Amino acid sequence: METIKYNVVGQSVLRLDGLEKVTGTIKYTGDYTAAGMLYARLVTSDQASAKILSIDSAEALKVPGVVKIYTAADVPKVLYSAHNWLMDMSDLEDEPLLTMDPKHDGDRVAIVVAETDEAAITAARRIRIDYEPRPAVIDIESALDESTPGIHSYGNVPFDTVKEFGSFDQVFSKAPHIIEDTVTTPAQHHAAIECHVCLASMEDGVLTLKTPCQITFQVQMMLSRITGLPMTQVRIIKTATGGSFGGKSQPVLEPLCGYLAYDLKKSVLMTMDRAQSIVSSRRRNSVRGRIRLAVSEEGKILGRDLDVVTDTGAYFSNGAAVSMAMLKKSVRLYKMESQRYRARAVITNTPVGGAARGYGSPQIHALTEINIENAARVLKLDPLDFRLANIVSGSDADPMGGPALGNVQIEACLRQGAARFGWKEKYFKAPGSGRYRTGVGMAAIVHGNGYFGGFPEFTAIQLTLMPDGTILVNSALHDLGCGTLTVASQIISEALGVVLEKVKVLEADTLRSPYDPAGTQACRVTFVCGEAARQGAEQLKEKILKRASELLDLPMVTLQLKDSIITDLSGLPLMDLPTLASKCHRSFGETLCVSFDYQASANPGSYGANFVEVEVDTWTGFVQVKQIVAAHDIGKAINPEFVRGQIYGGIQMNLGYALCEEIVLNEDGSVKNKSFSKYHVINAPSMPPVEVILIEAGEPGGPYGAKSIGESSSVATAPAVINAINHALGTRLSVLPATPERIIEALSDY
Amino acid sequence: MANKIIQPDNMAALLESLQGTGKKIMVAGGTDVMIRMRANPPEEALIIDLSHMEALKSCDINEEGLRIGAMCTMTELWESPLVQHAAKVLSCAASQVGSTQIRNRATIGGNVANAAQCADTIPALIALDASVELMKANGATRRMKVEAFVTGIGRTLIDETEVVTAFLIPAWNLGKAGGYCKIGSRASVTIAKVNCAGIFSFSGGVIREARVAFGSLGQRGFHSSLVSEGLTGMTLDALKTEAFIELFVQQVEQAIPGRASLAYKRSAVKAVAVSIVEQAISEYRG
Repeated sequence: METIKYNVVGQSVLRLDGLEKVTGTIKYTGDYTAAGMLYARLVTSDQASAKILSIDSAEALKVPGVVKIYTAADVPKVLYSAHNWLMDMSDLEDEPLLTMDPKHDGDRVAIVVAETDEAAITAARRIRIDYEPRPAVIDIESALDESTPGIHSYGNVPFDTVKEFGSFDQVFSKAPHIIEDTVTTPAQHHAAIECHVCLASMEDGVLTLKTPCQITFQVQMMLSRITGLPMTQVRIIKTATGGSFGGKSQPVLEPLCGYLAYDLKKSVLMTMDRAQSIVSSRRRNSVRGRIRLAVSEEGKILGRDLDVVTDTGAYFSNGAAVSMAMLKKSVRLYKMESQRYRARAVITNTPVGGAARGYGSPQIHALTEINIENAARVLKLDPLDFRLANIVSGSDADPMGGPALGNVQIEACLRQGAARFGWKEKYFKAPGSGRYRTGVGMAAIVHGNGYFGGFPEFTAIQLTLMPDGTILVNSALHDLGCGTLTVASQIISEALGVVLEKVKVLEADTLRSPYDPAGTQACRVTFVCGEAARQGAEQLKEKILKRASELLDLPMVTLQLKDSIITDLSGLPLMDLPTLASKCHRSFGETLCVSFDYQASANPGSYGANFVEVEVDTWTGFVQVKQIVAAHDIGKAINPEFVRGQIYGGIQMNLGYALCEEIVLNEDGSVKNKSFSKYHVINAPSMPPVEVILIEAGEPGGPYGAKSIGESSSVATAPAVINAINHALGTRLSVLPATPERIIEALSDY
Repeated sequence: MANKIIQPDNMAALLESLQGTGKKIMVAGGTDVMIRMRANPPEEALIIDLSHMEALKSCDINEEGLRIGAMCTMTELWESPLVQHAAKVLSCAASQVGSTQIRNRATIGGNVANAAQCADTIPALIALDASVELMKANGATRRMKVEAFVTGIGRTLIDETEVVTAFLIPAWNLGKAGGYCKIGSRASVTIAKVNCAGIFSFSGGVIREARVAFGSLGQRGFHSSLVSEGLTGMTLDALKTEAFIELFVQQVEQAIPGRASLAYKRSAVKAVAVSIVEQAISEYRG
């Protein structure tokens, strides 16, 4: 793609809410107050599986300021799916608002509403729950065992499917090499700084929620169903988000908090603490997968057999969706004649699975990329050459009939990343034989760009030229902290020719925003919503120049809009936007505005590769990550610093996935590590140097050629780290995270 | 049912606060007690915040040894030239507690009285053969060895009406070469899975005396006769062969036989052994 000189696209402008955030003046949901506001706290089960015989609230009710205590008997008896975001979606609905039949440590049993948060917390502690414990099903193996009693009436394996292309049996019967691995990935906590929080009020008959969620229209739909109010009387307002990473993608507190406000006709602020955010919200679905890779004598991948079991926790949630997401990502990276993919989702008495940054990508790529590297080792091939010989190109089709792969740049990612990293030299260096061993590993990945090809993928945007020359943009965007609104402003500023500071993009408010049920997730924002913004802005520019041409009596082709001024082609200023707006009001009785509906027609792959060097202490099992090179196929960086920020953060999250992050269970199914003193993320001293390579080759269908990075950045590090550890130690470690204990254990096996 | 909070700023006020019979909670920095109080809020407790007790914040040396006020923070122990010189092993241990913010608040008195099995300063104090000084409401003091004082996880021999006022490191153990090492689950801001401190007297290239103490192996920190005696008499050349490491491994095996964590700790302790001995030798040569 030729290099085009843009005005603000491609510039690392400062984030528009940066000053507010660093000075602490920005309002997060927990900062809001309302007249007569009440505070709600959850009471959750500390049993993984039990029947509640009785709940004694007498002592709790004595706490001064307690208004009401809700148990399952006091809330509507609905069962919902926190996954379904469209009216006609029908994934299993099995989640109650509150339960007398807790199915995991952290399941919701009661809510205390009080005049102060302190009273709510104190009263919540005084509720006595009498449990009749039941055996807990806490691992995939027991869930798959047919003799294990079902946690729900539908049994423990509610999803079981096989998807296949090519002549599977033929490929595997003739394959000279079959390399098999079984890889296990952990339940990961999202670890947003802001724990789940929601503020709900009844305002003139309208149930109004302020929430830092990712999907306002789904929350609206759910609360409309729960309360019976029409959707026009359920208003969901997106507030500033203190981190989400998918954790606020499914409604968690909103259905409850909304119902409380509806029932009490009062404002209610509901907050989780860290322990509840870990056990009572969502977590990344954990996976155990067996991978068999069929390879020819020449090192050509012939086929793959994937048997993936997803532990979706105590409720079905996105068990099917994440299984299918993993399938999609497994067929768009390497060419092969055939693949069989068996996916099962199992129910266990563990915290509920749900959306998490990458949505299946970290899981499936951990499985396949560890196996690919092991295959190269078994076949005595350089893992880089093995990958290069088998990767897809843009001319390949999705073998399962999915959308076109787009402008695939995986080869550039691999070649440029390897060169910068010094792969060849490092890979063939001996790991050493002393206490410290060094090793290198790599991984290639692909992620999507929205829902096209799977679900309805449309959005809408409204742009208005205000009388002072500012541009008011009404959208259903949710900025999760990654700079979405700034990026949208950059795109609109560029497309329209209006200075960046004059563009104001509003976030989702279901009462006023154009309907966009898909929310801000699935890496659709820059690619889909950004392109909608670009095209909408182009249309507004067209309108502006047309009216300017009429008012100035000059041909439209001789006019341009640049830096908020209408000029001739030589740049001579002719009219400013406030003047144009006023003249339009007087001459045409018109406000210049555009309401633009957009349907995506592409869903290309965002490719990437990570190269990692580690030093492993064979005595302590400590892994020091010495260097990471991350090369990403991002089409075009609208804001390069934001893109790098996503990559640094994605690596931090995926590095934790590789080395330390894991929700650990006791034998009875209770969660061992409900705080950051026991659930460790990668902290600043452990963060390695990261070099980022951006491959900007342009993606057709994306704004200025841009495509997604938020999720693809959080996938390749973990398999690359595991591969590097195995390279250093000569092991075949395949359980994530590779904790010091697991490394020492693996060493003792060799 | 309300709690009462007081902030004494002199010894008389502190001693007066010790007199009542009700439940008392000492806050000597608060980095652990605050978390515990949040998880299990006390009722009708007298919360005594010691952070204004200047009298408990001094460090001085006399013919008896080094006296360290109970309210000295980890940062102060790490930065104090006096402690660095006289009891380097303690200074090192303090430098590895939690994060910078924690070290700025956490105190040695709090660390010991809290009696976590993984406390950083306890093995250092035991290696130094330090005593704890306790003061009663009437101003009377008593002393006992830190090793005897800590009896289990969160358990010590302190009375309801006592406060920890100081630690005393005997003169004969001051200025000795030493080392502290801990293995946690990550490089920093970590809780020890194994920690160990040792002080050594060298002469003529031979360890003449060693005192090595462990933490995180079982309920409480302890002095290891096995390692201390085993190292005594070893030459610098012998220490190069890494044969001494086996002593540390044996100590772990003796301390936690059959424990699920044994497989890991018996390997990780090798790193502890090497680190401590290397620190000590570098000081001896330095």
